[in-house]
Amino acid sequence: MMFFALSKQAGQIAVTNADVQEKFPGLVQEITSNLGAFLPELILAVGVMWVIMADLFTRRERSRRMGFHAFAFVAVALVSVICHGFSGDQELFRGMIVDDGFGAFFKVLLLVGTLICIPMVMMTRSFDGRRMGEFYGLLLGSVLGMFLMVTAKNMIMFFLGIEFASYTSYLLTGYLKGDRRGAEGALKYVIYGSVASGAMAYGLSLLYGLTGSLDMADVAQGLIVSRTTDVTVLIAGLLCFAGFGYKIAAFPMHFWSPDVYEGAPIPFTAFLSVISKAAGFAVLLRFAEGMVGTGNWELTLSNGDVVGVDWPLVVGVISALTMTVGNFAALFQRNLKRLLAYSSIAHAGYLLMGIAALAPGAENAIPGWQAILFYLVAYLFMNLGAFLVVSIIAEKTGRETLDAYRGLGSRSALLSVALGIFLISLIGLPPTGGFTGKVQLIKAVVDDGQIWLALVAVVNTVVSVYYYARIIRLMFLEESDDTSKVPLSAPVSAFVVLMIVPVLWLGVFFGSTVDFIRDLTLTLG
Amino acid sequence: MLFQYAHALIGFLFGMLFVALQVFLLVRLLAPRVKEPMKDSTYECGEPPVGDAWVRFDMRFYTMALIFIIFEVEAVFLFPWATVYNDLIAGLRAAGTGNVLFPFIEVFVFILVLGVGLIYVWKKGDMDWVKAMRGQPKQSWPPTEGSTGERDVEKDVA
Repeated sequence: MMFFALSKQAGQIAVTNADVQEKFPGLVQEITSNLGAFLPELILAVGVMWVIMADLFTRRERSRRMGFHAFAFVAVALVSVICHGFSGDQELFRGMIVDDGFGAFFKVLLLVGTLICIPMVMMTRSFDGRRMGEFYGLLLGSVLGMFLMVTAKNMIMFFLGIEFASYTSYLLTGYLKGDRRGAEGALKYVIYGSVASGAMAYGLSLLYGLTGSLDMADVAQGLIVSRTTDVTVLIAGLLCFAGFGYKIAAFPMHFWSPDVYEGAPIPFTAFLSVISKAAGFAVLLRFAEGMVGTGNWELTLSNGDVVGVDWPLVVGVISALTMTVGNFAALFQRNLKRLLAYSSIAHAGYLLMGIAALAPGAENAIPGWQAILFYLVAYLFMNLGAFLVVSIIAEKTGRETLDAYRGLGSRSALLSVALGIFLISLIGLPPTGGFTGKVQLIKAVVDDGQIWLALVAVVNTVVSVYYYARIIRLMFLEESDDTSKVPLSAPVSAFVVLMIVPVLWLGVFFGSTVDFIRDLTLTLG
Repeated sequence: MLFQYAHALIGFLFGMLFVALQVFLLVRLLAPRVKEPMKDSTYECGEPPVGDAWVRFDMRFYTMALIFIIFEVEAVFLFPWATVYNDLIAGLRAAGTGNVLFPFIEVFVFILVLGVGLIYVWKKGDMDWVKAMRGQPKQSWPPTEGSTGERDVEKDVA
């Protein structure tokens, strides 16, 4: 940090020894005073090193205990984020990252999700006999990268954060060496990811070329003030969207996700489908607030034609395509992991509605980004819950296909009722968090005057009922040859119940969460 | 607006054309051609090539490259730090604010992080060229009598 800041100044004037002596003390004060707000990231960074180091000096059989260490570090980081509060409003490290309520909210979301995923990893038997220190080290590293993503203000930081989170994800997808589907998924993930990052880097470089600044606020301001009349802006915006769209698995960039989700270990699939996606939405929101939030752009082409680029419409079309593709592909899936992969593509589509309605059209309307935040909270619990049940069933029966769920109602009441609740929430029916979340998203779109998008979302919801309800029907209305009870230990049962509570809570007592989100500030990234 | 760059494009195209003409046409017209079997050999100077260019390359060199990066990154960042170190200290002394040891501590943290990487490769056994297979005694280097120092391939497979 120190050298980067110094070399930044070196671009303006030649640095002499006297300059160093004069400017360095101020820099030191700036950096040290910023470290307090950077504490959660530091805790995670120490956690990454600790878990990897401690594992080296642990016997192989005890390696799975590293999960407790990782859990402790994530929990401490969570406490430090909450203690820091949600009212921060400052730039850190010379505008590299920001400390604001929006970022803190996402940090809590990421950490809570990780806290749910770590016990799932520890329950997974396919990891037995493997060294787990590196897994948890990479997992914490991934969360650290996402922290930098959700708080980034500088475009370089955006890119580094996304790359950091991506590279660790590639490694974790293929963590089970020798597993063919895992290797296939990891390879596809790397290839798609590299292309998407390359496109995004090109888009960001175009924005830098147009405005001469790497700072997102400056870029957005430069583009808004000058109303830069060049097709380049459109191209740059779309190229950047390729990178973000890949992170959230939106329509033209979604091809990697079913294979990766199927190949990765189940707990990590859960992590990817919720936490990675949430971080992607955070970056996209910050970016869109600058690019899209200002509404329509009038572009003048070189031949003098004035072309208005209706960004909300562009995002709206991508959103409609994403949810439709996700839902229709999910209809024919037999493997539950793959089904949930397509369903999570569909949910990315629902969430994109909020970005299409980013700027509130009416008085007192919910801005789209607040609806997204609420939906992400609900989605976190319902999707992780669904993956938890899938993971438990896969552990007990060794199968991930739909057949494993036949007659589950009589074999384990808790698991089947829990999965039923999570699926009802994923459909978006009351009294669950999925319902209240989806209502807010649709309301945001309707308030913005994009009725057609709301209609597409409702039709898609009806389509999605088919494949979600089929699982519920299999569990409760059909009988299985195997009627033995599924044994559940007390901690696992408690874990499942603990996941049901927030889903129902968000469906009934959603007011406090909505109010909390309303008070957050979104500093223009 | 884009057309103001047209002359650059035209210049570029003509440049390409010119180079292509020179390379293919001019050389064909002017250069003498003598057919001789020696001309087809790899090195025209008369050195006979030995073996195939597609040799097997030891996989372990990639670990070496990774370890090299640890030290290289360290050197790359330590040099600029070392050149301004005295000025950093002098500046902090003069300002009277903050800890005078800050430049030292920051670099210490940096080296510590790299040190973690070093401990990792060391403990994983990647510093030994002759690696012990799991469940086999470690071999020494240079090889003792009766051993070639190479790994016994058949034993590894079994």
